[in-house]
Amino acid sequence: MLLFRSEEHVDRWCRLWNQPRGETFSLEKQWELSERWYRDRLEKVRRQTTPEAQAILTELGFTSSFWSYT
Amino acid sequence: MTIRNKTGDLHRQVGRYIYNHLIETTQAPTMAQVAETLRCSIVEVQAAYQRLTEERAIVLQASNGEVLMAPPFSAVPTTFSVQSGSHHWWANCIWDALGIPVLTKRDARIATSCACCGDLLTITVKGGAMAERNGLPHFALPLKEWWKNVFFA
Repeated sequence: MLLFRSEEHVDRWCRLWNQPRGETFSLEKQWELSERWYRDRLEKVRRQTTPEAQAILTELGFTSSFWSYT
Repeated sequence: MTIRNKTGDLHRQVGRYIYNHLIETTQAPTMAQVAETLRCSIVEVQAAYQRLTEERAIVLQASNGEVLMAPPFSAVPTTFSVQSGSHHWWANCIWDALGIPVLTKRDARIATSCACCGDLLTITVKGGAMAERNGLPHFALPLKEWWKNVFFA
């Protein structure tokens, strides 16, 4: 989960390192995801279970097969 | 100082201690520090680490069994720097870098480099929201592949 300057730089990196072109989205969307993911981590002291994690992703609109645990 | 509650789940107390230690000192505790503080044996700490690993709450260093990741924190330097006042943490990825100001409830400046060209990319978080920002997150692998090689993911 790396950060790039632009879509063009993602494409160049994928070609250079022979890596799959995955998904990109805005930093605003990433913030939503990080905020939802970590806001109660200190209270629970555990990672979400797989169903909980999938529910968060669905709630935030990450519904394609790329974002499926199965 | 945290003292082990013998009626509680030790692994949960160990997890809480790891997080508190990282937040306060920016460093992950060693197993010896955990054992001393929670008044338990190294073997008990290792068992707790095993449970936390199975829950994917932490990731251990292969060579010595010490903490490598307690997401969003990295116990070792990475390309994701998170600065907040006098505190400087390392994050595992951009997802986690943004997670540190969320978890610590602090303003922060995140610095990393474009994975392609190396140019500096910075994000500031103030008052629980992003202020200045630049960069585009890219996820190379589909979610179901991540834990096959979490270091790459």
